[in-house]
Amino acid sequence: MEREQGELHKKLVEELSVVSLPEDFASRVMQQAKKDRQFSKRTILVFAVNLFVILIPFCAVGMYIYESISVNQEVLPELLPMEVKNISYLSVETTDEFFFRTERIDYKEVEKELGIQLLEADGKTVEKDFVVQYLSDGGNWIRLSLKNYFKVNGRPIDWKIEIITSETQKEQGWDHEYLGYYQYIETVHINRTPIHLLQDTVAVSTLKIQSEKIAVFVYDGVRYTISGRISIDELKNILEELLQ
Amino acid sequence: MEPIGEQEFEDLVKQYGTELLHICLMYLKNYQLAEDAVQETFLAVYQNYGKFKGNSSLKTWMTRIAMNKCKNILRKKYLQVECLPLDLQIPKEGEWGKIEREMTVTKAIVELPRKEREVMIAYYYQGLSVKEVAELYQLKEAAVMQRMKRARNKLKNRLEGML
Repeated sequence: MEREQGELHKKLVEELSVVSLPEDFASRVMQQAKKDRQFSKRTILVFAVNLFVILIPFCAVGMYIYESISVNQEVLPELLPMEVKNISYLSVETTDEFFFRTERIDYKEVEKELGIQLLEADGKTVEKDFVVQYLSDGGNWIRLSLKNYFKVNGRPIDWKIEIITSETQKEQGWDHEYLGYYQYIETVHINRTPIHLLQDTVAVSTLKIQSEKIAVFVYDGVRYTISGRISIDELKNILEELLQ
Repeated sequence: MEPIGEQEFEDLVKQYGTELLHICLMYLKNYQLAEDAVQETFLAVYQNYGKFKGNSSLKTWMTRIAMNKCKNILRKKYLQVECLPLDLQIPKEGEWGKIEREMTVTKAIVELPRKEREVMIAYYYQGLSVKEVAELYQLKEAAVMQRMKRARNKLKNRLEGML
């Protein structure tokens, strides 16, 4: 066992040797640490005094900040705020480390069980193999993944629905970072709902196929992410039908 | 302990930074998140160095902080980050294919369930003994052995000849 430990250790170190911290990492952390220290020393009193004067009128705005969407560290304009929803969690038998997971075949039943009215793709033909994947930590949030919900010109459309279910989670925020191969296209407004439109860049540059388009918006305090390898106009049509 | 000085802090980053990055990377499977976890770890070390009582080694203390930071990130960001199973995002163009092909052991360990992954990282990457792994995660040695046994069984096919 010890020999094996030594061999695998060597292999792991060798494999990971190409992964390192940026050269300026130490100085960056140092600067941050100093900033934090200065902040705590100089500004606590000023902060406390000004808290009521400055922050209270903007407390709602403050909450929105914690729900930012960013693409490769570019923070996009604010969406409507997410709200804490009082729901009933689905009854799930098995749990893994942090999460409760299950799959259901009837979206309307899931809505009913959760006790919440969500957006639905009215008028679309729901795919036969469509299932709702449910994931939750059992106390703070729920995520529903609607894979292959319906098709547009033969291409599957997926939905992701994220619901905050506790004040704690609301305070912690619900940031979403699209890292790497994503590009922000624009923010459109449909029926006063701001919607971010993104696309993946790998398909365009490498695979030469229709890129995955993604729409992210908050409706009635719930965040929706709708995606599929369709044109931006097709995606906008889906959104208009949903939100009109 | 006395608060840490600037030079001493930089030395600490140099000495342990890469190892912590690798541990966090195997835990979080995403380079950017791993770097964030290491940054938060060192900030916590900087702020709390004076409170370190020396009950464990400095390395164990820092690893424990890093693991807690990883868990926080995982809890908070698991759902929000769009990432590949192992997303290194290494800023070295052209090397990705080579790395992906050659990272057989790393990928195998990364794909284990979290609890098994934890002990395997500590035992095989950090080179800790079973007793030290148990101390790190505040587990009984038997529990560590059991997790390792399960993990090794899962890895046997993938790492033929190594286990």
